[in-house]
Amino acid sequence: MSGQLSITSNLGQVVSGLRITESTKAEIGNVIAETYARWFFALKGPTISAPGEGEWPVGRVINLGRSNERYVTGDPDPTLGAVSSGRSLGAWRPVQRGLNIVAINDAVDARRRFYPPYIHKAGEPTGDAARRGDAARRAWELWTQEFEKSRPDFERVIKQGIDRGD
Amino acid sequence: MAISGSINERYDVARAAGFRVRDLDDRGLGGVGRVLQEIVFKWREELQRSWPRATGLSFASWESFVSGVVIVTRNPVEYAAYVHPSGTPAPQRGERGRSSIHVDQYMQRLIREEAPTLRRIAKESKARLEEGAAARAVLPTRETSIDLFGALAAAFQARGGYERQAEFFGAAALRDAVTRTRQSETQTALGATVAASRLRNRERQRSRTR
Repeated sequence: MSGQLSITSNLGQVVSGLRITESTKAEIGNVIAETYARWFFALKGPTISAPGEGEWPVGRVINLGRSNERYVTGDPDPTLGAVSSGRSLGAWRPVQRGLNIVAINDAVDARRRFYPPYIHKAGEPTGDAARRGDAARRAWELWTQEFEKSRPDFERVIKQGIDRGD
Repeated sequence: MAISGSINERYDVARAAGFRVRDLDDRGLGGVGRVLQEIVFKWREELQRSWPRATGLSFASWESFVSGVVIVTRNPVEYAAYVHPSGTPAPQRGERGRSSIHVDQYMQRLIREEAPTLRRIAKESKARLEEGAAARAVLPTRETSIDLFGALAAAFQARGGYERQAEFFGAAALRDAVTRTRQSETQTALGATVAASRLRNRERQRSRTR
């Protein structure tokens, strides 16, 4: 497995078949922003400098020596200290593509290889060529969870848009 | 950049480095894109090294990417522009924090350093176009749909990042986590000072025994 990690929610499920005006789009954008912010807090935890507090592992990068692939674990590593933590966490960004909301992570290691798909918490299996690390799965679960929490808000702003004749 | 607290920088690399977009064929655009992507990766390394953290929200909220021949670095958090290293003076009213000034200057430096390479790529590309060996590259159009960054920045302007996190995690949990982080940073700094002092003592003892 290689490449950027991206997770997607299909807004089309909510707005399918509708033409959306700019004002409704702006309101949808506000709901996405709130959803993304909640999701990101859950990933990050209260502070990124304390490994294990958020859902996205921050901690050491280890080289297992297998195909030179690197994996990140949530093991706190005193040799790195707080300042070295959070590189891949900081590489998330939200992008809208058509009716999809995509959270992209394009962190690279020192040899410029994307590693987010391999990230896993301490004690969990490492990701490999065929299987993602558990961090990607957890990020996806959280994203779905937060998206579902926001579904009533999405539906409300779209209904208001329809009522306004948008 | 407006001093609104969030940051939205767009670096027009063609203008800064002194080449013309219309001189680029597909190969040239690809070459420029690879250089710009490497600039972004180097910039992130400096960000990783230098940006101060307490909750880590403003650090982790940076977005940096290449869009055509433009590099975008932006941060929706409402206090990102005012961040400064612990122990340094806070910015005065209307000023930016040292950290945002530093990462801005660092990006400009990286672009300056790569300017000769970028001009060379554009020159070679122009030669291919003039020979008729290639067609002019078409830059990807910018997405003009929902402005997610604008919405995030507006959300943090309306209710601040720290306040939101206090709500999300609980005020006490957030305060405790930040306190632990600061203590750990102090201990790391103290540890480094003690280690340096021990090293100096050892060197002094060695020089006395010589």
